[in-house]
Amino acid sequence: MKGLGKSMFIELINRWFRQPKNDGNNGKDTSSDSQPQGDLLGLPLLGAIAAARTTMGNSADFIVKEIGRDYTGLPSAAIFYIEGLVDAKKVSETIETLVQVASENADARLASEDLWQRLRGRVHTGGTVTVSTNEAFFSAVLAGSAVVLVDGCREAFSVSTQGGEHRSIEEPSSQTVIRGPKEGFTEILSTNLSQLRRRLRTTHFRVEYRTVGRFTQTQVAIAYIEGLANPTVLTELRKRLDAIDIDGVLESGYLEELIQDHSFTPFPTIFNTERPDSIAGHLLEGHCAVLVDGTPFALVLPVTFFKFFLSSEDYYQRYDIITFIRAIRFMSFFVSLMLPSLYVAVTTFQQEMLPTTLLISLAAQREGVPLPALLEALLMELTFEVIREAGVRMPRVIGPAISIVGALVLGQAAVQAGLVSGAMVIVVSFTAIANFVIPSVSMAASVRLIRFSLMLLAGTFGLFGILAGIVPLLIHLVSLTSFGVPYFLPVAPLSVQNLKDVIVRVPWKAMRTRPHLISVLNRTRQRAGQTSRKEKD
Amino acid sequence: MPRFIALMFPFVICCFILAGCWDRRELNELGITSATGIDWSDGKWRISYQVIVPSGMGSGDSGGGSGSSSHSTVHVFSTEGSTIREAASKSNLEIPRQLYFAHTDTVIIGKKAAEHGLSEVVELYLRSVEARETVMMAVTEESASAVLKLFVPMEKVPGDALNKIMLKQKENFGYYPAVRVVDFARGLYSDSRATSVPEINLKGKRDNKARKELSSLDIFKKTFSGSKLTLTGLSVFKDARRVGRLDPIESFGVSWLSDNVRRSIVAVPCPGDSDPNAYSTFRIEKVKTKVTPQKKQDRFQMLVQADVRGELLESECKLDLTKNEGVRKLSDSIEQHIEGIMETGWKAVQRLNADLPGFADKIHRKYPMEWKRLKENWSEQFPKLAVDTRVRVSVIRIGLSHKPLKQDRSNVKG
Repeated sequence: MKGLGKSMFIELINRWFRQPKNDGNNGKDTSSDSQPQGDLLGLPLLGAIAAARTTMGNSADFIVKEIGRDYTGLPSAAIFYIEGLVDAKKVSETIETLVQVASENADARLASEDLWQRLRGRVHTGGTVTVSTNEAFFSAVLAGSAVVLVDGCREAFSVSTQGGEHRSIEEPSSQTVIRGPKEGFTEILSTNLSQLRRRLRTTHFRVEYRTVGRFTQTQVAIAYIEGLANPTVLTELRKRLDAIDIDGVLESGYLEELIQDHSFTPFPTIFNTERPDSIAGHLLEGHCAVLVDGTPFALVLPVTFFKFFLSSEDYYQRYDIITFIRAIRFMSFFVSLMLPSLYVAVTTFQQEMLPTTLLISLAAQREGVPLPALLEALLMELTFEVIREAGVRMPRVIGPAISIVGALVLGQAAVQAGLVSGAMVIVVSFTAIANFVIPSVSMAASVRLIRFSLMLLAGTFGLFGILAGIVPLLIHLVSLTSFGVPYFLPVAPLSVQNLKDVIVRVPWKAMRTRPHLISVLNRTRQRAGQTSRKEKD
Repeated sequence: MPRFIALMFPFVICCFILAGCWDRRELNELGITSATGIDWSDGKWRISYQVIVPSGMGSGDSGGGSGSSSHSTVHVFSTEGSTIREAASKSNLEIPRQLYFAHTDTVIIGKKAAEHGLSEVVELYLRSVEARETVMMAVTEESASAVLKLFVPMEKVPGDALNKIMLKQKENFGYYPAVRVVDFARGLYSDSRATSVPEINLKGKRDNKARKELSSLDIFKKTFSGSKLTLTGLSVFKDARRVGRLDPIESFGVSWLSDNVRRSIVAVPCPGDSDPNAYSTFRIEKVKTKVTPQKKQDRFQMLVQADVRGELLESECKLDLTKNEGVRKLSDSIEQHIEGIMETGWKAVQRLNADLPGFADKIHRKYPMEWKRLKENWSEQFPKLAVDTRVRVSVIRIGLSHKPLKQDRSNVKG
């Protein structure tokens, strides 16, 4: 395994984008610690409130409510929370309880310790945790708890009131299936983990929490099945996650780039999905998953190249149909990767490769087209990429307008105006459609990227150029690893037993073992003694 | 190391930009040649190119059917020079596009060029990368350029049409071999040093009016044309020179002798029938001809054994085909007929003294020692060979009706 982030590629980028020498900051982060310096827990209540407000910079959403009055007229306790992070109902219930307890005891002149005990004892809206340090105080508040501070006590307690507005569970938008569960992950880590736990009701299902990001303090969960997941991979994963030092993690894509084996590659070496059933399936095969709070996209590792062409639906549909569909996917992969470059190479260099009638028909279409084939192809591909990007970015309301303009501009008008040939429109649109067949968006994106360099090669050297692009690409692919597992696994190095779930998907009855090298400890999926019903009879 | 890569990066990019696309040929810069014509007169080669006009092909975007009638689909250019390549290079003077020969289907050779000798043509095709030696050859009695100018109705590209005619004829009819340049060269370099090329000629009206009609796209608007290009015979070449011509039946005989018949049809007169117009038609579906040289004292005899399988297509004979005897009589008559065709073919090659069936190679293979002696005066020996033809016909199907209709009716009457 290569060192993290210290690869040649990263060093090169750093060299190019290095900061000017006279910049006094010189890359050193002065605000490395966002936690307050003073200790507010030991202060009298009013002082503590002031200190807390100062630390939070008088943020408007940082709410402090004073509770009760002692005989001097000063508040006897205060509750601290952040509006929006807490469930408003829970907090108001808590406050109600606290106010009631405080008023009951207003004349009792209780020692502050006793009041503390009574307050804590009466709160039932959520679990309470003792908070004894400054850091714990603020992290509890920032995590959505309401923290109660009693005048004269050195400790506070937090009430678990996490809540606030969030998206409910919906059907995943990126990896849709016809047959299979329709629920997807949400932005809430605990909801996501519960979806996994509901699928894996075993004591062996393990979740480990990590907090990543100095400012974001993002919760990251490592999920795996004890006894199935490869311990070496797990150790390495923990090591890499712990080594991350970054100001914030807003999406799992941050982690994906920070923990992958190789940075200098167009190919994704970590799989991502927003389908809980897909994650559960991967965990059962012995993969590990990383879930990040705040995003529905979870990471799966280690993965091989071919994993990106499989869909979770492959295991729900009949195997023969899926085998056919997988063949179509791999064909679409090649079409999406090479069709424009093959077209360019064959029409500008190796015309003898075409059947005569096809050549004549293509030549007829190219009559009067002003651009050379390479430029024509690049122009059309770029136009499509622009329309595609516009389709993703634009407001949903304008969607139909863009598609009409796109279809007209790309298709009819350009051909009628004689700017591009009809065959090129067919090539570009088939390439674009074939690209959508690849189930993984990240793999589809890499294919789009490589397509352009292949087109340039084809435009300069013809079919030899394509070969000169494909061969290094293949060499690169077999040299990649994902957490130490060879990226091109069942093919190179050849692993015959893993081939049963790559190009073909064998029937479930034949899928007796977990994939080799992914799962090392326990490889049996189905016990060997098991026979089909027919055989038994 | 990163510095090294950073240094190399501009160089790699320069490879693309500077090497560029200098040798690219855009489709709309190519003159795709569908057929080439080669003529020879007064010590000069005259090369004609039938260049496809893509915009005339109608498959473009010029508005469907109407586009096809406004342009011609091909245009013929001719240039002259003292060698073929020189003539070809002179095409730069008059043709706006770069001529492209990889998709040429047919090469037409004028009779005069054929009689002058085609070794230079063969040399050209074997040496040049772009000119493919799989091009189909045809000889014409008139000038090749005249043939190139004629359309073959139904096909928009005449060169392609001629190629198809020759191939289809070979597969389904078997009268003439389909000769590619490479086959021609093989024949020249074989021991027999003889080879043949089908002849294509204008049949029917041959005046200027007919030619004008056939060279215009208007022919596609008509249901009938008084003249058309047809395969009419076989040119016989010895040492790359045309030495004579075979008529269709002689050519068919040679095809039988040289195992070139795939599928064909023969009309056979009925055995023992008083009516001379009574024929039965036999479709040959499978033929295997084996030629074995036999040494008899000092002379060689060629034993030609043909195994023929086929079915009866129609019969007007008064034979009872439901009986074995009737079928045997029929097959005997077919055998005799085919042997007769072979005999005709053999007589023709004897007359021209051209070893088209390739007997020389058979003898060389079986009797290499004798061949050394024989090859010195093979042209004297060849006509003296004895040829023994033995044809075995098996009629595998006689069709759905067993008795000829004529016979049925006479039975009813009687």
